[in-house]
Amino acid sequence: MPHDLPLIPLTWGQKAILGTIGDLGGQGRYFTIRRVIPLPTGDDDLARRMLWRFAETNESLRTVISEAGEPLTTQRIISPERIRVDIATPVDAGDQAEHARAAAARLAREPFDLTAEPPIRCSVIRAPGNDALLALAVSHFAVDAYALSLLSRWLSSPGGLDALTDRPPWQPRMQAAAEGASSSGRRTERAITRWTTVLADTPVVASPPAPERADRFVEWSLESATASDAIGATAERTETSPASVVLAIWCLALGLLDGRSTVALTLISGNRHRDRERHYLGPMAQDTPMSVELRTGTFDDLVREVHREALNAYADGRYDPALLAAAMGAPERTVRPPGKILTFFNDARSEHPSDQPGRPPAGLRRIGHWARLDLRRFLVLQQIGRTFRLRLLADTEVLTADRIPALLQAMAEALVCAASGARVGDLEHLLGRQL
Amino acid sequence: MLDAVLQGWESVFGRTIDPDDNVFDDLHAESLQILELLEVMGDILDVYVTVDDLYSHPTPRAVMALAEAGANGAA
Repeated sequence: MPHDLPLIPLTWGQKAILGTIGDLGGQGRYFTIRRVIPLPTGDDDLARRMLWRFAETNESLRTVISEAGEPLTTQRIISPERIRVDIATPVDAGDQAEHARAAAARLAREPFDLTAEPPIRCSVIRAPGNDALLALAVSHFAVDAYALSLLSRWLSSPGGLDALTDRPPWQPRMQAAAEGASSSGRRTERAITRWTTVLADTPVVASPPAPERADRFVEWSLESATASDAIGATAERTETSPASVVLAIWCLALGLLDGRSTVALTLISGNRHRDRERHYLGPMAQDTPMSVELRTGTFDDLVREVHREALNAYADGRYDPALLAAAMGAPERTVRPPGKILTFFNDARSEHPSDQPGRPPAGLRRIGHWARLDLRRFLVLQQIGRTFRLRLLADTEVLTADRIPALLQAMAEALVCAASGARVGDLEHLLGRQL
Repeated sequence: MLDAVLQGWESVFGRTIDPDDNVFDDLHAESLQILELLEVMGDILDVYVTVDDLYSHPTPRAVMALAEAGANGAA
């Protein structure tokens, strides 16, 4: 097993997620992910070795932020054997899944101290005659949503150990080195220009102060075969993408909700544009702002404009968060810009939800609630087989709880209407009637 | 240099590219391909090619001419 490695810079993606964690209180409690993953073995020693072997080839899981020198700038890749892997007492086969879920919850209870421990904790839950289940608590510092889907797929791969022996070609130290190249300064300059321009024209509104309630932030999802077909038809006709069609409707809805003809929002830029990055188990997602002027005319024209603006924003979505924050006058040691647009859109189609393709669309359903998040409204587009799923998470101090599902349904109806060609004004009328 | 640009485009689209192939009309580039193409062009030409540049200069030949002219003030 390798020893600890020399200090290397944090990657931009790591800094970006650290900034978000810091905004939510610094302890990362809200960014700890729980998962239960089946392991292709029932042997406890083998399970532990598999995990360590996996971490050996995926350094994002075995890194510790250095407190030496300036904070938030360096990390040290440590030996995989320093990852805690508990081996639980065997349980009855019928109780295994429940024990595993409880174990994951226990592991996630205490926030990670990312300067003292690696960003993953594990427990192996065995049952006689069954393969083991791996209960995980993972800090978002180690994985963005895309990387989390990689982690789940790789760890539960039927290829078992054989599948883990192929060393992924891209690691944090390589990513950090690429970001340190001379051309990287231009990227950050572009991002600074974008953030400055968009924020200058945007009233920056903080989440309203209010007593913390367990259900202050509520999330709903909508899956509709009709709306999915409609999204696909409009995307094909406008030669854009399903995400741009949904984003255009989201912009119309936001314009109505806020009473503004120019809509600004933050896109989550996955930044997985190169093949090496598509197999990189580390965070790369960063925020990038965009604004759209809602002109009258056809919805198809709006979709094309949104598509182009979004592409420009995504292209500017890779930058050094610390330098951006400094350029924008953020407090020292902060890696987030001082002004933020707390309305988001995430095109998460490239992630791989665990749902089974081919199952009937789930319709409208409530996902859950949270006490504290750093957002006002957040729309996510996912894809399951041929069906699109819209997930809307909102601060109920901004959008009352009953209006969240109503907004999702209104957007779905507007998307269906838009599929046969519609004018912006018609869709605004349809949306406005139901909001 | 045009050969290098063409190779870059071919790596993104996985097919043989003509210098006058239009990224939208002929290649029907998807969003991720456009973003990947910008990355590849940045590596090869060492200039910053924007999405808007690609809309106004949608072929390998046109992008190369834009880079040689030092558009965007980038170099």
